[in-house]
This record gives sequence, structure tokens and C-alpha cells, in this order.
Amino acid sequence: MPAMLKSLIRHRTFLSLVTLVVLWGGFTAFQQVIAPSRLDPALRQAMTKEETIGRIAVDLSFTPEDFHINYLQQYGVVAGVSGKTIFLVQVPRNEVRQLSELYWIKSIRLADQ
Amino acid sequence: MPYKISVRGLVHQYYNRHTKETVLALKDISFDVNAGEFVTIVGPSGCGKSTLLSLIAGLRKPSAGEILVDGVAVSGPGVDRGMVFQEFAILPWRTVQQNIGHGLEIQKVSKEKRDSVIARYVEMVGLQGFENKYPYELSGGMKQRVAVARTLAANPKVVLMDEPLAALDAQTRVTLREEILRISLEAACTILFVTHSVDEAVFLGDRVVILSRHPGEVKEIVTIPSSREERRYPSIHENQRFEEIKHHVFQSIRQEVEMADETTMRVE
Amino acid sequence: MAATLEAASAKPKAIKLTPDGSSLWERLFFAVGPYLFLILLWEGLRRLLHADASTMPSLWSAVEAIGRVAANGILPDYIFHSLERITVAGSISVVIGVSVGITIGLNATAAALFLPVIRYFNSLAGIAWLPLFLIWFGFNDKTIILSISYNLFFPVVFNTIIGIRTVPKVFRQGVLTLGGSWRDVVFGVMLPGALPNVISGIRLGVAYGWRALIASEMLLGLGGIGYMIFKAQANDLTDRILAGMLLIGILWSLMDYLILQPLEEATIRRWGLVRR
Ligand SMILES: Nc1ncnc2c1ncn2[C@@H]1O[C@H](COP(=O)(O)OP(=O)(O)OP(=O)(O)O)[C@@H](O)[C@H]1O
Ligand SMILES: [Mg+2]
Repeated sequence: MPAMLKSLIRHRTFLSLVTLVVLWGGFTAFQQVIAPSRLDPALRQAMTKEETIGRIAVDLSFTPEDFHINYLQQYGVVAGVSGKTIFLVQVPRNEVRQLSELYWIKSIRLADQ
Repeated sequence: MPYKISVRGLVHQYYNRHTKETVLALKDISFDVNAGEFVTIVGPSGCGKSTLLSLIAGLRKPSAGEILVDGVAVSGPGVDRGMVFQEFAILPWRTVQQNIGHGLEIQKVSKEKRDSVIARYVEMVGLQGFENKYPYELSGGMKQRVAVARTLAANPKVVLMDEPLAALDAQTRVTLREEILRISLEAACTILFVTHSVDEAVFLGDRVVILSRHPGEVKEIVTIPSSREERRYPSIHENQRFEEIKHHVFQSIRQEVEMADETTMRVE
Repeated sequence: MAATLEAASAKPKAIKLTPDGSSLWERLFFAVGPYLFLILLWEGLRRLLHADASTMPSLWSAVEAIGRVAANGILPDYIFHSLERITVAGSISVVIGVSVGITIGLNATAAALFLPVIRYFNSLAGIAWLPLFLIWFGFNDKTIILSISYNLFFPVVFNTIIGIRTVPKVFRQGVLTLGGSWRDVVFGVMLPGALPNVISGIRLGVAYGWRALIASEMLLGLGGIGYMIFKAQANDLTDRILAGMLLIGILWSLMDYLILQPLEEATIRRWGLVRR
């Protein structure tokens, strides 16, 4: 049995899966750590006071495609796209926090009503 | 006393569903075997020896006639009749010890008991060190020894063996013959043993059944006068009586083979 | 005498037919050689035809496109969807396909009843069902999974049947003479005996299913690698099409190398190379 276990642990399938899980886990953990830095101070302030944020601007480092607009639709109503920025209205604050953990989002700020 | 095995007027015909042809393999076979007896069966290739064993094992239904084991007609295979196949039939996905222990596993024998029986048979057939090998890692003769051990380990009352020593080297063959003789005395089982070797048939058997050429019939049954306990290699070769019987059996089979050759020649 | 001996010992080297990977360079050559050839062919054709990037993008730009979709979040999401779909569909079809295959393989009545029907449906390509699936389930993940399962099912069934039917009769007889019941025969002989064929069937089935996945993703617009290349065509992102095609092959190779091949190897190693 131990011999079998040993060969299982050394097997390429096991090693690749472990590598994948470790890399992905590390990556998401890192994103969680740096998430607050994606939120601008005014938004952070607002999130301490209000349950739902009226209007936010999500800045990307690239021009958004349908994928990104549809993706953000899950978090709030997309109110418009301008350049590399997507505007969302009526976003609950914990969803703003979730958004800030997405690695492809550059920054999120409070937008004018 | 009732016979252990009674074969009465056994006929077997193979039927090929596709060509609609029939082959008569056995034509009216009758003989009896006493409990604890060792009967060897010899005959020309294709005369129906394997067919006869598979009928007794209950793997086929005879076309006519009947087989009684302890007075009861055979209706199918059972634990009481173990068989060593000409083609070994050990399972390729089981290791040597898993194959040898298979019968005990089926009988739900406890693991400790099973392991001790396995160890005994592994030693008996000389496969120490190969317990955890798979059949593809074994030579033909080793596979055959696994097959013999597998059948004996299940401890059947009747053992049917179809040329179990055919693929072995001369030395191992002689050792295993003595071993089988010893087991037959120890285990008190009844053995039907098919072989191509006249020396083997006469050395092992209490009686030798000689089958005629295809389709098989009982040509002659030769009784070996000495008891099995007394037989040993190589001293047996010095026994004048033994050599005479061997010569007789040999001539009897040769006659059949020659006649068989003539008939096939005529057909061609 | 010495000369003939020498000739005899030299012979095996001369008739070596398959690379046995004796040296690292040799292994490297056989691993990357064919791909290197294809890369050179593509790049050569581009130059020969003076193709511009919107019709025949360079392979490097495809690699760059992979980097872009990875950076903008599309790639992980789509890969996840595609892999999730093939996994769900694969599990469903393997369970159903193996059960049906075993039943048909063991039972002549079941074979007579179902085999003609299964052969009939096998002739209908899975994609031919897509319109009907769309009517039944709508633009939904169910539609994609069903169409993958459909394609995956048939190789699994047929190979399982072959596996069951080619188990040597003498294996069954052997277990019967050890006192085995039909249960011992089915579970101890027929199923393990059929396993190598079942695994080959699964490997083939997943390959078919993967193709069905790409095709139905292209038509349904619910994300996934297939959708990525379809959408890229509408947006004139030729480099992304090429990137998607590279990824389809790479993902398949990885699945095959990491999951399906090890399964097959494990059974073949254990069953021995020769199956009587
Ligand atoms: N499954 C089968 N279908 C049709 N004919 C068969 C089948 N098995 C055996 N036979 C025929 O029956 C006859 C007896 O075969 P069997 O295998 O019993 O011979 P055998 O005495 O064991 O031969 P050998 O010494 O070569 O093993 C042969 O003529 C053979 O062709
Ligand atoms: Mg035979």
C-alpha cells in the first residue's frame, strides 16, 4: 500500500493538480490581500456608511468587451460605458468588495450621481 | 459402494451455428472412477479429452448419456469439481497470490486462513518471490503452475486436469508429478488427469484410460499394479513391470494415431 | 564467425522502428519536432502568400492574444465553463454508457432489443439534435451538456459491449469451476475483463464530446472556448481565433495527458500488454 501511495503522489496527474490548486489558491489569496487598494478612499468611506452604493465607476486597463459588461451586470445595473470605464448603479457594498477582488479590475471609485 | 464418478454412454456433438455443421467429438464413452482414485486419460490429439473433462465439470451439456458424481447427475459446474484448463484460464488482472486464493475468496474464507493456504501452495509450486507478479510477467510454465495451485487451493473433491504440466521443463515436470502424487494421497481427492505423455500417465495413474482416435471412444483401460505410494523418480524406470506397461500403452496410442493419419489422408 | 556475430549484434540497431527515447535529444526531437514543422509551415505560408494579419495572423500574435484574454479575465472564465461542461457531460455519459454497454454485452435479449436502436441514433450526429434541444431547453447550459453527452455516449457503449464480449470464455469457466456464482462471474471476470476496452471507449468518447462542446458553444453564446472563437470572428479578431484554436488543442492534450492516458496506462499495465 505505501508503495502505491508513493507512486500516486509522484504521478504527473497528482503533481499537476496540486501545482494548479496551489498556484490558483495563492493567486486568489493575493488578490484578496490587495483588493482594498483597488477602492478609492471616497468609496471606502461611503462603504462604511451606506448599505448600497448609488453609482460607481469601474476602471479597467483595457477597452471593455461584451464579456465584461455582462459580467458586471451580475453585480449591479450597468448605466453606461465610457472609454475604459464601466458605470454601475445600485451596487450592494459587499458586492463592491467582491468586485475589488477581481484581478482584471484596475480600480473602483465613487461616481457622480 | 457407489462410484465417485460414473460416465454412462456419453456422446457429445459440437454444433456450429454459422456453418450448420456438427462435429462428433465423443462417441459412447462409459467408465467409472472410485473415490480417491487417480485416473489418467491419454489419446491422440483431437480425440475429445478436453471435451470429456468439460462435460464432467458441467461446463457443457452432453448430447446423450449421463455423468453421475456420487450418484447424482451433473447439471452444472460446482465447487466439488475443480478444473485446470489446458489454456490455464488464470485471470490476467490478478496477481499470482490473488489467483491462487480466488477459490477461497469465493468461498468467503477469512483473510488469515486464505493467506496461509496461499503461502503453502505458492511454495508447493515453487513460485516464491512471484506472489505479487501479474500473469503477463510469468513464463508459460509458471502460469500453468499458478493454474494448478488455484484449483487445488479451492480443495475440490474431484480434480479435473487438462494437460497441466505440458508447458514445463523436464525437471519441473518431474518434481510436480511427484508433488501431485503426494497431494492426491494427502487430500484424498479423486483425480482425472489428461496428458500426452505416456510416462506421466503410467507414473501417476491407478488406471490409464486410452481413448481411440477422433471421435473418441474408450479403447482400453489399463490398471497399474503398483500403489501410488511406492512410485518415485528415477527409481521407477528400473521397474521392469512399469516399463512394460508403458510400452503397451505407447503401442496402443500409436496404433490409433497411425490409423487417424490414414483416415485423414484418405479424406484429403 | 566473428564477422557474422558482429553483424547479428549490429542488426537490432538498424531495424529499430520506434524511438525508445534513449537520449534526451532524441526524446526532445520527437516531442517538439512535428510541432516545429507545423509552425515553420504556417509562418512560411504567411510570407509566401503575403498574407496580412487579419487573414493569417502570425503565431506570435496568437500567443499575444492568449496573453490579452488571460489578462482581461475572459480566458479563465471561459476555460472554467468549458471544462465544467465536459466534466458534467462526461460523468453522465460514462455512467449511463457503461451501464447500458454492460447490460447489452451480457444479455442477448437486451442486445437484440436495444442495439439496432442505438446504432440508428449513432448515425444522427449530435449536432443534428441541437435545434430540437434548443426548442426543449432553450439557450441554456443543459442544451450544451446534452449535446456533449450524446456524442460521448456512443463510443463508451460500443467499446463496453466489445469489452464484455471479448472476455475469453475460459476465464468464465475457470471461475465457475472454482464454485463461483453468476455474480462472481459478472463482477470478478466480465467487468474487470472489459475494463481496458471501457477505458479506451471513454478516452475516445471524451474526444468526441470535446468536439461537440466546441461546436455547441459556438452556437449558443453562453461563454466557453468555442464561443470565444466564434465571437472573435464577429469582431474581426483573427489573432484571437487562432489563439482559441491553439487553446482547444492544448486543453485537450492536457486532459488526455493528465487524466485519460494515465487511466488507460494503469489498466494496460495491470492487465498486461497481451490480452488473450
Ligand atoms: N467449441 C468447439 N466447437 C466445435 N468443435 C469443437 C469445439 N471444441 C472441440 N471441438 C472438436 O471436438 C474434437 C475434440 O476436441 P478436444 O478439444 O476435446 O480434443 P482433445 O483430445 O482435448 O485434443 P488435444 O489433445 O489436442 O487437446 C476435435 O475434433 C475438435 O475439433
Ligand atoms: Mg485438449
